[in-house]
Amino acid sequence: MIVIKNVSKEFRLHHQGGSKINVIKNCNLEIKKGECVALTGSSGSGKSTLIRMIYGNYLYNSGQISIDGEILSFKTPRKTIELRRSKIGYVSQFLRVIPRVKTIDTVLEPLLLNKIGYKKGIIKVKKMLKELNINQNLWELSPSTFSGGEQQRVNIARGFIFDYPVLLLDEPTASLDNKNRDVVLSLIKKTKKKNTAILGIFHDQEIRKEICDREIDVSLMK
Amino acid sequence: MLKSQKNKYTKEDPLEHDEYNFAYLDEQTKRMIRRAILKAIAIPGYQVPFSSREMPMPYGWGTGGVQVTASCLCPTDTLKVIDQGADDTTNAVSIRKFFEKTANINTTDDTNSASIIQTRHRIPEEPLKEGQILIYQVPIPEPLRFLEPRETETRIMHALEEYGLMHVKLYEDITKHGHISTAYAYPIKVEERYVMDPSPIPKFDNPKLHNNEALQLFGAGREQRIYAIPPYTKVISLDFEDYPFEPMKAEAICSICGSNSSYLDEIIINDKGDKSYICSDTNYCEKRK
Amino acid sequence: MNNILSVKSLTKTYGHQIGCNDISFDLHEGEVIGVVGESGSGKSTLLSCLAGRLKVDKGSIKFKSRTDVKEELTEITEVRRRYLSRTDWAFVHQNPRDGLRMDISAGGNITERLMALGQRNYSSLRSKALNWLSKVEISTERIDDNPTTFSGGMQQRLQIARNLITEPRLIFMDEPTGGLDVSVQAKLLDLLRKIVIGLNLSVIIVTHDLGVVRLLADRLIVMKSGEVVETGLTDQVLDDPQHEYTQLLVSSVLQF
Repeated sequence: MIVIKNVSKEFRLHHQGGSKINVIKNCNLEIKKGECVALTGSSGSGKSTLIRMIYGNYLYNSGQISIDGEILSFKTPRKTIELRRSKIGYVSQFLRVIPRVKTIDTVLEPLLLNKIGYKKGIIKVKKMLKELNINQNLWELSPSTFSGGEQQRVNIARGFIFDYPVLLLDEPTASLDNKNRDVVLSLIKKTKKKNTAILGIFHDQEIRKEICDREIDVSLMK
Repeated sequence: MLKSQKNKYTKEDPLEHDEYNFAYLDEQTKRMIRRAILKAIAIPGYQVPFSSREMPMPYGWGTGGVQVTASCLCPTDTLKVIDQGADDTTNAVSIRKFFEKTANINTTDDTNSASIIQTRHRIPEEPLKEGQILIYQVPIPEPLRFLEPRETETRIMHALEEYGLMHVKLYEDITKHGHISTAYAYPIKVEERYVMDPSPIPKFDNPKLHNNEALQLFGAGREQRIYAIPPYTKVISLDFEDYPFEPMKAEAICSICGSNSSYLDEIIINDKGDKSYICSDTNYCEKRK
Repeated sequence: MNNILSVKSLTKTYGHQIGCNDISFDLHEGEVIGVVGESGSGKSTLLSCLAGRLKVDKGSIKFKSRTDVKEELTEITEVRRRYLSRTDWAFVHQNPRDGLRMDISAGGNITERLMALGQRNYSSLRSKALNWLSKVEISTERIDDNPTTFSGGMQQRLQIARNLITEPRLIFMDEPTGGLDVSVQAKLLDLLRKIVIGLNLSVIIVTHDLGVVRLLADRLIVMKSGEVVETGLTDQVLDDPQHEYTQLLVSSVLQF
């Protein structure tokens, strides 16, 4: 589902003496349908960078990334938008909140973009928010004023609400308590059963053991 | 009823002839103005610029109308001059005398027997007929002026028929007063093309602009514009479907002639503030008495 | 392709000074493109050229009309340009005073374009004005008030209503949130976002505020000294800027 061939990434910082930082070199990786892969490596080793490259958020300098047979390239931004809409779910570390948009609408958006009707969608959204223990009286509010944990759960709800064939998870359980962590784990397991290819960063070894089929050390890709 | 039966303009009258060229203006100026008039007739409702001359009267007293009249007058013409419908007010009397002196033509109060009528702010009640010329004095020729101060912009708006703004004015009228409160200088559309200011005539007179048998000329001296409505031209007063144009007059009858259909002036008759109404068109009233 | 606008090699100079140089891009229907860059980078020149407010020196701008005809905007007549600009296009100015008639009531401002297109029913104009006032979150009681009595944010929203009432397909925005305080900006942005998505509008938005494009734009064009230095997906350009100038631009923002 996700195919990464000889991908390298360097950051060039023009305003810090033009210094180059090599983050990833010759990365080769393939993640199949229904597979859950964890990225490991010390902080700063390039885990998030790799995830962001697959989401099209960061460029890669050489090689090729393809999702479900379609090449992801910075030269075709509209294709990237289309892939994000229909194929790639992404739960980032932090929710980027759109001011004044209600929680319920924030979570509903991926469904509407994929032409799932409002009525059908809203039932799904409510079920998801309930499952993630987000208090019902928060649903009509914008998540901008929520606590870190609440925001993270809204973010997760948004990522899991639509059945994307590819799901990218960047420390989805980082700021959650045990009860909610377990909810997220069961969500991931359920998603896996739907044949989704999952690539994630989980700092908790137990979680990795519980849900992941393999681990890949990003610090070796240099 | 011819008011003055002075000598016709003849070479045997050296005094009149030497003092002024016929109708005051020099021949070159008259030719220039006639060209502007012809252009105005060719493009009904379009404001033709012309080089307005200093006249021996202040701006606002009809310098535009006087120049158009001077350029139209022939020695055989009979001139009538009215101000707000009346033949006997200062402005009307002054202009009539001006042409009696400088052109030596016949003048009259009778609408029917005049060949040229110069008017300020009225159209005579008596229907005009083919061959007559009605010349209006115009203070501000540009109907869009109070909405769009830039002349460059209003000219483009006319050229491209962008007249939405005119209805914005009427919209504002209804919004502020509950009805179209514009009572005079009511905007019209001429021959389905140019939006035009008919000069400050009461909107009661607007229907008479339409399909009139006479040639109607408009002269603005200070603003240096001439425009025209040729005989038998379609003239529509702008309005909304649900707030249609309505000509308006005082709900009264003339206390002199008893007319209930003519446009009336309101007169305060005593210190208590009692009112009386009389025809604004003095010649019409006179004839009915 | 469903390009509503195709720009090729557009160049505009002011004497020896370059306004914008050799700019090419396509705008899809329903797409929002952000043009960012510092003052003097040529982004406003570009916008003025596209909207036909400036004459182009070189290049082509093809616009797809409602009837699917491609029109070359550098060659259309002034009559056609003005017609398009009151039916198919909208131009939202930075200063609402440039886009509003300050001595005409809010209702008159909103409905002027409809009247220009020949709508002559007062009651229906009025109900359309009320509808748009509530769409842009201005109390309908203010319909008869002049914009001079409105706050800056309200004036800007009124300008948007006035522009969008004819359901244009292509919107040009020049710093729409400039000069507004932050809380008012957020409200306006959210409103713009809703309208743009709801009406499937194609938008070119010029701004130096990266937060604005992050929220509204699908794609980004970064300009410097009249040239395009970087283009791409909005979040990619902002999160992983490649060009020296873009990096400077992004790192100069405290937080967005």
